[in-house]
Amino acid sequence: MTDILMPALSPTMEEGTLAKWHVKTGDTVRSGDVIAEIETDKATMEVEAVDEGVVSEILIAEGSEGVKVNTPIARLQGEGEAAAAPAPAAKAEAAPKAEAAPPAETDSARASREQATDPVSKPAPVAAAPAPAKAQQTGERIFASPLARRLAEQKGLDLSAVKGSGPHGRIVKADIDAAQPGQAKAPAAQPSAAPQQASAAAAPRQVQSLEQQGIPAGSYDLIPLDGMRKTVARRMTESFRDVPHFPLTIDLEIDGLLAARTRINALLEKEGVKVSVNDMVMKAAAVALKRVPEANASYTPEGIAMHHHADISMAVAVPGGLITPIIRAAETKGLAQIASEAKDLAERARNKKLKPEEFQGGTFSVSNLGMFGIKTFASIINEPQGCIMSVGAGEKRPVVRGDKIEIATVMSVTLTCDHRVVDGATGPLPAGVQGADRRTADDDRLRPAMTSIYDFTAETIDGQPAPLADYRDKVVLIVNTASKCGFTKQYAGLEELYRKYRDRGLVVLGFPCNQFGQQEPGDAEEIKSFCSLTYDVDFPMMRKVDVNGPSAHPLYAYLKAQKKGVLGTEGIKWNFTKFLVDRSGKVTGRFAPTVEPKALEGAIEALL
Amino acid sequence: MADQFDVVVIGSGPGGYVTAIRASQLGFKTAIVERSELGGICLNWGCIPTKALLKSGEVYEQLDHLRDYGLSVEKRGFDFDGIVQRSRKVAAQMNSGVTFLMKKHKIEVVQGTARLEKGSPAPTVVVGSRKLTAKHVILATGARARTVPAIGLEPDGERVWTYREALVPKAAPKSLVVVGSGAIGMEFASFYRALGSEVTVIEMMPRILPVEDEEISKTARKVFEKRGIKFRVPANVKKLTKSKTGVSLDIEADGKAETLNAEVCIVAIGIVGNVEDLGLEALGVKVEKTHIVTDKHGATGVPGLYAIGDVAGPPWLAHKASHEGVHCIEHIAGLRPTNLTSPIPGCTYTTPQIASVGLTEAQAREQGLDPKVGRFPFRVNGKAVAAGEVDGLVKTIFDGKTGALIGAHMVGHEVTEMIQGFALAMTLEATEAEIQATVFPHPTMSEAMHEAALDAYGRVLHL
Repeated sequence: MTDILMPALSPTMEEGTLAKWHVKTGDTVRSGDVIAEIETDKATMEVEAVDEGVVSEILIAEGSEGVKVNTPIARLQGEGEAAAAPAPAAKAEAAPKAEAAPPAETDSARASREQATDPVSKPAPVAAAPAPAKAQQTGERIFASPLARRLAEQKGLDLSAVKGSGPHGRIVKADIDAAQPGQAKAPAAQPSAAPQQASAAAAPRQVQSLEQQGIPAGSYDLIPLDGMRKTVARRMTESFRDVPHFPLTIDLEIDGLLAARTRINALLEKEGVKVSVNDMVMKAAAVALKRVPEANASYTPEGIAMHHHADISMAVAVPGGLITPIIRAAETKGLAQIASEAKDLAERARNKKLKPEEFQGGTFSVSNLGMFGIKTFASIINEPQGCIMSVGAGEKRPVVRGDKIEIATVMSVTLTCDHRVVDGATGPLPAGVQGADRRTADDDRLRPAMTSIYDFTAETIDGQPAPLADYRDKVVLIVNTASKCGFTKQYAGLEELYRKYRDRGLVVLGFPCNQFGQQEPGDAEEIKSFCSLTYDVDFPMMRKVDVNGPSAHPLYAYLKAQKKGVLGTEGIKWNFTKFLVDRSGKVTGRFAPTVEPKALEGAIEALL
Repeated sequence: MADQFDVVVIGSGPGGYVTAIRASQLGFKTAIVERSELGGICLNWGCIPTKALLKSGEVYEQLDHLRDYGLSVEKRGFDFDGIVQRSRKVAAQMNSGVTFLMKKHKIEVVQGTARLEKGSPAPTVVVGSRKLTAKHVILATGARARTVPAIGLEPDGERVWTYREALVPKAAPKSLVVVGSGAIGMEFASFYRALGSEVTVIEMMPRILPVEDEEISKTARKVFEKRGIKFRVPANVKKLTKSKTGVSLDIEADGKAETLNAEVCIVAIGIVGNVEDLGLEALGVKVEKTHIVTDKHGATGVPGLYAIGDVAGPPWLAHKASHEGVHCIEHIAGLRPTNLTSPIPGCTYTTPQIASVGLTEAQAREQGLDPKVGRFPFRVNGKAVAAGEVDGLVKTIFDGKTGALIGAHMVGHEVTEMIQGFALAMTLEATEAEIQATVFPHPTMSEAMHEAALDAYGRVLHL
């Protein structure tokens, strides 16, 4: 018999709603099967079975709110186990109690807080509080180290609300240190301990009730704190109190950036992607962070963690709070990709459909209140990140150029820095660089940072979409091919390169093209069989494309712009022109048809 | 592709070889590179052979006190060669044990000196003409004795020794100066004193065994002095000069200049990490004061390259190296850490022995804790009295606020065998209540541990 427990879907999760059951009593589940959906303060998550067996009992009904972490929610009977006698008592007790839990918790917690903060005030309505103590609710033995037990008692923490990270899930000191005294024990459990709890259990400062401060009850409505509100309150308080922070503000002229955005969006129109100023700010911030790695860092007691990637958390307002989904490794992503990811993440954030890994663990935050006309503001650091950037509205303002006053579109951005990580002289660098150029923000400089080959999608010779983003972190050799050309025998050389280096990360992509001497007249099937029969080609072949002219594939338009030909012209001269792209998506070389594949070995090795 | 591995460990000391075994257990194809003997310094030139010497010294010195036990001996003496030979034989036996373990775990032993070259996903390990590639390379190159040639503190194998020469001399010196009163210095001082050498120990810090709790240092010093070891503390060596018959050290002790003459000088002033000629600079590995800088999992910041043990910084202890190595490879394998803080005990195998774990009383106060301290001397412990081993004491330190055991310190007979009890208690996050509630067998010297825990809370029974 195994109890399936209410899982903690994030480190901060204390309780959740059992939104939906995917199994019913008698169903056989295998490890990995989705058995239920849990809704938390931040997201809806699927719960997967860890063990195999038959569901012998559902202990918590669908739709139950406020189910505490680690409460048994169902019972699983292992294979071969005799059907257990039903446990009606436990069932009857568990389900309603769990449902009754939220008001009970809120009341008792509040009562305890009041009592804790003001020991001389009238006794809390102990009698009114329903049967307390979580342990009673579950009847489970809690495994915790002696020190953890004592610390929990001193802090007024309920151990059943703490997830153990020690061996076999045992609760150890570190778990108590990380837990918050939100789960104050019900006063009935330990009336005598209440005054003693005051210092440890209560909020960091003593809070007087509104009544004590002259605002009578009944003169306001009280909105209970939900999980997200508690989390926001706690994290912001801790950050503002414990992180030595300072703001740096800079004005950016963004006329060049806006012009670039218009052009980029025109190019992307076909793909249905629209890049926002905020997307550009995030991309620019990511590029800036790579240049100033000191700002892409976290303070830890062991040392400064220098993050390998710029994982940009973007603040999204959602009903009842805010959440910061993450654009991972934004420095490696093109604007189009950032824009689509940002759109998707924001949408799912609002629908509470984010997975924990999608909003936990960024390295830098961007918060934008420009759309509300906010001129400047300084956000609170999103721990453990080293910096957060607050983006104000872009608006026409007078600027002084030389001795004249001119009109420019200006956007103020503020970087709030953790002084333990970022010093005053480091901070301005990202703030200055992030607009690409403080004074002019010209889009030629932006463009290389704004797009990469990973923004494009080709089509395989079999007609499947082939996003180039699939080749991220590989060295890519892109060649326009033809079957009836004097250079056709280079297929052999290309294949040789591919076999030699593919284990080390080389990919060759063949793009058949009929634009040079009509030397690739065949259809996909013909080209495919020619390549495999004649040259045993193993590397990915794509659908026939145009590489020059108005119908040229966008990838080729990009490649040509990145690396011009020997005479400085962009057009491709003949079949078997080769473009070499490094692991970050940067086009590093363009080689004429006359350059034999073998001659590229040096250049390829340098990139591998 | 014989030279492709999942894991290559460089250095086969207690850090390296244990890491290799754990790697193999976790299913990694593993190789270990060693430029000298399998087992490293620990087995061949450190922990193990010194314990053999110390045992000989201890038994010999015990003969002085036979009358206390109602025994007598006709004639006592020693065969110095025999003592050294026994120590070498013990080392050889342990060394062949490691050879066996490597074979058993199918770990390829590559004999030679390793150098790292840039590679992906981890640096390539070049050993002679072989190029070993691996997904993970773990540096466990250890450390060696620090020397200061500028003032003559440099071994010559004749008059000036490090631990290495001190393990295999031709004869026991009549007189000896030991520079440095850490574990290594004190162990040699203790051994040669047992055989009758005139021993003087020089320590730069204000007290001997400076990493230990002050009270323990003091108690140990009294016992050492009773055995005839002399100390100059605090003292600095200005210059060492060699002559045909010995050495002469100009020192400044307590502000006064003095010259010490002896047959031999042992240099035991700490260690330096073996970071040279590995190709670390070219890879951009961060090295600080001869030690590789790593995160808590041993990662160096260079992809695929890790460092553990002495080369990765203090404390310079074999068991710390093994622990770090296992943690490092388990982290690589993606095993979940237990989230336990494992304190690292330290042991010195002198007569009397010294063993400790966790914070000293002074450290606890520096950290702003309000320590509750308990003490219990062996002098009133029945087993210690019966065994005639009454020197020393046990000291426990608890966090006054939480009751957590935060430090334990012992000096006395075989205390190195007892300290693990406190280490276990600390790893299990015990408070005073569990230790006090534990039944300690009677009669044992370990009862002093129980009493010290009771004493911290004013509940000591036998004082």
